[in-house]
Amino acid sequence: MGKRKFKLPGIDDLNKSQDRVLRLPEDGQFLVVGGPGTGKSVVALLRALKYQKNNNYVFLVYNHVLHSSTNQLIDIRLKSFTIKSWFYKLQYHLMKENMPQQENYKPDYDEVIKRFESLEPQERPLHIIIDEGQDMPVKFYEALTSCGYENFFIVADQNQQITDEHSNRQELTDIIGLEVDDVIELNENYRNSHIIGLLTEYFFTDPSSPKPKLPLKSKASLGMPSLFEYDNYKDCGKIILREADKDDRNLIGVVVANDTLRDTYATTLQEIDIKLDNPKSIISTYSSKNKEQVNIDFSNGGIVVLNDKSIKGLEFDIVFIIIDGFKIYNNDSDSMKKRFYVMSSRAIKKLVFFKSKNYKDGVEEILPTDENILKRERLNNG
Amino acid sequence: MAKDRWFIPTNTENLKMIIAQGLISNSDGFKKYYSDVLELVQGYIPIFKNKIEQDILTYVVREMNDLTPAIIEIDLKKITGIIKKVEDNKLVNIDLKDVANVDILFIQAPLPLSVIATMIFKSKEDKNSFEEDSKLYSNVILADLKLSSTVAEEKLFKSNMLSGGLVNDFKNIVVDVNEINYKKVYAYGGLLLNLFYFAKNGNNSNTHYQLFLNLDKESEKEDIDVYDYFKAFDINDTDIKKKMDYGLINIAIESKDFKEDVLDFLLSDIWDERSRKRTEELANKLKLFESNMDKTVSEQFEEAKTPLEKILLMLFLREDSEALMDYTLELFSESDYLNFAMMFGLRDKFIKIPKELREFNGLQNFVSLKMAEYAHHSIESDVKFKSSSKPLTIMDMLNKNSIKKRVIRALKVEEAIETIMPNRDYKHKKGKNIYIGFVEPEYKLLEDEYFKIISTKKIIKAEYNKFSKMK
Repeated sequence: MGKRKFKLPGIDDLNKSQDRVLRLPEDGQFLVVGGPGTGKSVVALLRALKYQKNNNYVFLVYNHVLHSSTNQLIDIRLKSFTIKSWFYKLQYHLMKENMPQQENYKPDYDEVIKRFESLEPQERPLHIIIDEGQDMPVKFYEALTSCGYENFFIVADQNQQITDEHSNRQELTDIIGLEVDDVIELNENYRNSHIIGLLTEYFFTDPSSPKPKLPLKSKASLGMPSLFEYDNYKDCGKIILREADKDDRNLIGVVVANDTLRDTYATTLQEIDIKLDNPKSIISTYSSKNKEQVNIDFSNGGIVVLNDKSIKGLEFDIVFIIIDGFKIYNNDSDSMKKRFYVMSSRAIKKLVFFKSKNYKDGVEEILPTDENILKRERLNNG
Repeated sequence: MAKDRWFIPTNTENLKMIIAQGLISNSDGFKKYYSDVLELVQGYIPIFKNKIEQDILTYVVREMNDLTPAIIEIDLKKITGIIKKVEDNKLVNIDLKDVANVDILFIQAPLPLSVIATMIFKSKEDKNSFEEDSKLYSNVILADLKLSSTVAEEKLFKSNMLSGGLVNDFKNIVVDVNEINYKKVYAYGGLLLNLFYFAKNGNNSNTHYQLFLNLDKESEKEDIDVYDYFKAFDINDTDIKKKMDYGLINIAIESKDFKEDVLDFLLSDIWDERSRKRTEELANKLKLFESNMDKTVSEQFEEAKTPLEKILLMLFLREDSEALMDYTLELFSESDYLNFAMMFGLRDKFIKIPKELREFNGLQNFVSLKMAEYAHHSIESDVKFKSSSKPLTIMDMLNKNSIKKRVIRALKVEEAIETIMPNRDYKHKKGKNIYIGFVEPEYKLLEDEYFKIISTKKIIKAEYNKFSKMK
């Protein structure tokens, strides 16, 4: 398999807003907001690398997969944790008591704040760098400030809130004591091509934050996102395998709606036998329900089959989204659009949707009908 | 009397770009630029003697309130040819011997990295921070560059003097200069770096690299369109092959959306009827290659009818030179790799060539110098630079008797070596061939065997730098 690693950006790849973020002083409170692909996570990671030598920081990410991916792609040992696991450890370290919880793995933040406020006031110089900061509730931040933390660097995107407990931009601005003008906005989409950006924009739902600027317009005769309607899902598998074979350094994301489909696709991809140039790609998968260590190798090219809830913050060279299994409940198409926004914005080079000819669960109504944004094709691969 | 020092004031953001792009250019040579003195006089770089006035130092950080000033010290001895000073709002020639009487010199842009004596920071913290920051980027490569911040140098940033409106004076200078096509200059840099790397593949590749190093010299006419393209500065050719090759070279250098622009070019109405059939066929093949539904990549390369088709497939398959260096197929020949190297170098330009390669000993400064020479040659300027030492390619090393054997062993290419004993009398005794006197065998590289091994081997910085120290 081809080796992958986090590619440091060229100085010319960053715009002046991103340069400004990298020039921010080490101490202080900072909030950087931007849509997918605007380089939020990159600047957060570069900040962690910049202050790595001082060893006085933590780099917090929302989920296990992103934590694993970040660590594997970076050559040095980052002080990186998932937000909740770090928070649980911190609470225990400070209070020597188990975390008070509302339910399993859901902290009772009011109680935590009470506990933290009972501590001797103390300055805590640790620098807390948080990726996807919108996915944590305001009270999480309140808890941290209540026990003396004051150096925050938070990157967030309100349009990518995937948790029930989350913070919006105003709340984050208020809680870390910033003026509205101090918030740094990253607006340019660097990840996706123009045509993928255009499709992603179609799923944008948040009226209160600016849409990321689309990448440079292209004529888009190539790389147009496609929706394939298939008879036999194994044909989808063949296409995925050939795509992986084309460049064995590519990381390919196959995104599905539930664990049953996840298992089906992971198994099918293992079983299909077709002629390839390279040894067959490594096919890996992970479910947060298993609570296992993430055993996906992000430092090599290959195919990763994941539920949409696990792909937050990750990026893939190519993304295949299996529409079967996604269902709109109670006419809440906005929630489904948010999920599709996150899924489709993970793709760097290519985005493909697959849908069974028998699928009838309503997601089609949120997909663009414009063939100049999403090409529809029949799959008859044989 | 202390010797004069010559300074270009700037900010650390521009300094990073200068290192990344490989040239001290005017503002029009930057992809991302923060206001400083490089924008003040079109086509010229102002260089200050011994001190820089406070308002100039303020000017170079005025664009944003958190910019940090920095100073580039130039080694004037490495620049020859015509240098200018300002007189009545005009630039006039000045003899190098007379520079002692002038406070500000103007030299036609661009300057290579090799003329940088040192990069000066106003404090040790700034210097350390710059060093640390450079590690966050793939192309801010400090190899062969010196950074400093002595107590005396810190004073350079604390001038109490004002220039009395120098910025405006500079802006009013009337100049008449030819515009440099910076993209072409940077593309030439990318091309040279890739040719240097792929010169490992054999003597033919090495010869091509040497040929491109000496564009300003008359050489035997070669039928290489890329070479002709860089030799010529006014291109208007109607020959169909040249039209195709020059068109693609132009797209590689200019385009921000390479694949789409190639397809547009192939499907455009510039082709006569006979050619159009072929160009349409080629465009369709490329589209099919992109969608990649039925065939493997190697099958599609095998079906490629011409070198051009292979080049295009490769340019569609791999996104940059780093990815090219990682990719091999048994069916590729030495000239295939050579073609790929040239076109990928043009597309990536100096700034996108892998860090690993730019950190080969002496290579970054050397190619920067070649780019600057090329830029000046293209506008027929009189500025010249003292040459810096020329790094040897792997093939040069294999052709150099004093280190040949050690390099062969280190590269593990012994199987591609033939040892030839001289045709002299010898005795055969107890299974041994015995010569009288000293006998030096000749080690001959079997090029075909060698290519098979070396084409699949990636040369890394540590390896090259070790070889480069061999005497």
